[in-house]
Amino acid sequence: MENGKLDTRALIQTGVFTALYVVVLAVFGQLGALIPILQVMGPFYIPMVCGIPFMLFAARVRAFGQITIMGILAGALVFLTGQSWVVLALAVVLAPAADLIARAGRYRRFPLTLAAYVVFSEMLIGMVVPLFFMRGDFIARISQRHDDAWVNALVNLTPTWMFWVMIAMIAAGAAIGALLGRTLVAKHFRPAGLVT
Amino acid sequence: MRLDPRAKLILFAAVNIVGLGAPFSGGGGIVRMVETGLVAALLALEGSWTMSASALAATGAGLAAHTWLSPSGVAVLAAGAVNLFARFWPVVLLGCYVLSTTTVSEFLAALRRWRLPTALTIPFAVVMRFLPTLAQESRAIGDAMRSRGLRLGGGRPGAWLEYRLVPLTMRAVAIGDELTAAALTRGLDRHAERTSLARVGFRPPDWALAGAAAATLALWWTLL
Repeated sequence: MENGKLDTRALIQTGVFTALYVVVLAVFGQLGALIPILQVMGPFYIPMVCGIPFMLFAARVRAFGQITIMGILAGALVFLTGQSWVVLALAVVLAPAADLIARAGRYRRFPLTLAAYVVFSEMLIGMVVPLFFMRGDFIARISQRHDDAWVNALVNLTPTWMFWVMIAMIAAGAAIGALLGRTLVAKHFRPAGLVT
Repeated sequence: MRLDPRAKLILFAAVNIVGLGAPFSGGGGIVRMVETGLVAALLALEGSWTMSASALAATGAGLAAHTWLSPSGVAVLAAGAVNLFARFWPVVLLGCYVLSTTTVSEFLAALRRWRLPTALTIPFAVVMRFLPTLAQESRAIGDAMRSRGLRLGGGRPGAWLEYRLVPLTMRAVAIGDELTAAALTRGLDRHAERTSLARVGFRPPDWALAGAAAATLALWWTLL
C-alpha cells in the first residue's frame, strides 16, 4: 500500500492514529504521576502499550511522511500538556529517522518496522532529560507539585546511570510493544479487515 | 461570543504553562487567581455556570490546602491530591471549552492563517476532532461491557488491552474512514486556495484575550 502519495486520506489517517497514540501515552503516563515506582518503570511499559496503535498504523501506512508527522504532532501535544520541550526537539529528529527505517522495508518488513518503532519511541526519553541533566531546576519544579517524600523516592531511584538504563528500557519496551502490536494485528485487526 | 481560534490557543498555552507550573505560594497564588478568573469568565460567558464555579472552587481549594494543611502525616496525601486536582482542573476545563466552542473548519482556517503546511494542519485538526470522540467511544465500550456483566479487575492488564484498547482502536479506524469520506466529499483534497465560511480574524475581544494571556505570562515571569 506504500508508494501512495501523502494525500488527504493519508493525512486524516495520520491524525486518527496520532490521537490514539497520544491518548494511550497520556493514560499510561499518568499512572507514573501517582506512584514513584511506576514513574521508573514507565520507560518500559509505556512504549510497550503504545506499540499496539503504532503497529496497526505502520501496517496501514500509505506514504512516506506519515510516521514523521505522527511523531512531530505527538511531540507537540506532549509539550502542550506540560512536558519538557526536549520531547518535541527529539521528535523532529527521531520521527523522520524512524520513517526512513520503515520505508527501507517498504513498511512491510517486520524487523525494520520494529527497529523504526524503537527509534520512534526514544523521543520519550525527552520527558526525563530534565530529571538527569537539569536536575536542580527540575527537582525545584516538581517539589512544588509533589511532597518531599515523593521527591526523595524519585531522587533515590534515579542516579545518573539510570538515564542510560531508561534508554535501554525504552528500547526493550518498544521491541516487546512491536511484537505485542504485531500479535494483536494478526489476532484482531486483520480478521476485522482493518489491514489489507 | 465567537472568538478567534488563535486567540483561544494562545490563551490555552498560557493557562497550561501557568496552571501546571506555577506554585501555590506567594506570587504564584496571585498568578493562579488571574488564570482561573479568565477560565471562569469564559465558561460563564458560555453559560456553563457549574463548570465556571468548579474552576474557581478547585483553585480556591488548592490555595486553601497550601495555606492550612501542613505537609506531614496523612495530610500529605490529601494536600497532594488537592494540589494535583487544583493544577489540572482549570486547564482541563479550558481545553474542553476550546474544543467544544471551535469547529474543525475554524481550526483549519485559523491555522492556515499561521501559514502552517496542510501536511500538519489536517492531522492536527483530526486529532482535535478525535480526542472527544475517543472519550465518548471509550464510555460506550464501558457501557457495553457492563451490560454484559464484564468487569476488569486489577492484575489483568492483558485483558484491559483486548477488551478496551482493541475495540477503541477499531472504532477509531471506522470513524476515521467516515471522516475521510466526508472530507473528500467536501473537497479537502483539492489544492486550490480554500475559502471558508468560518470567519476568523482578530476582533477587539480576541486582542483582549491574547493580551490577557500575555499579561498572565508576564506576571508569572515577574512574580516568580
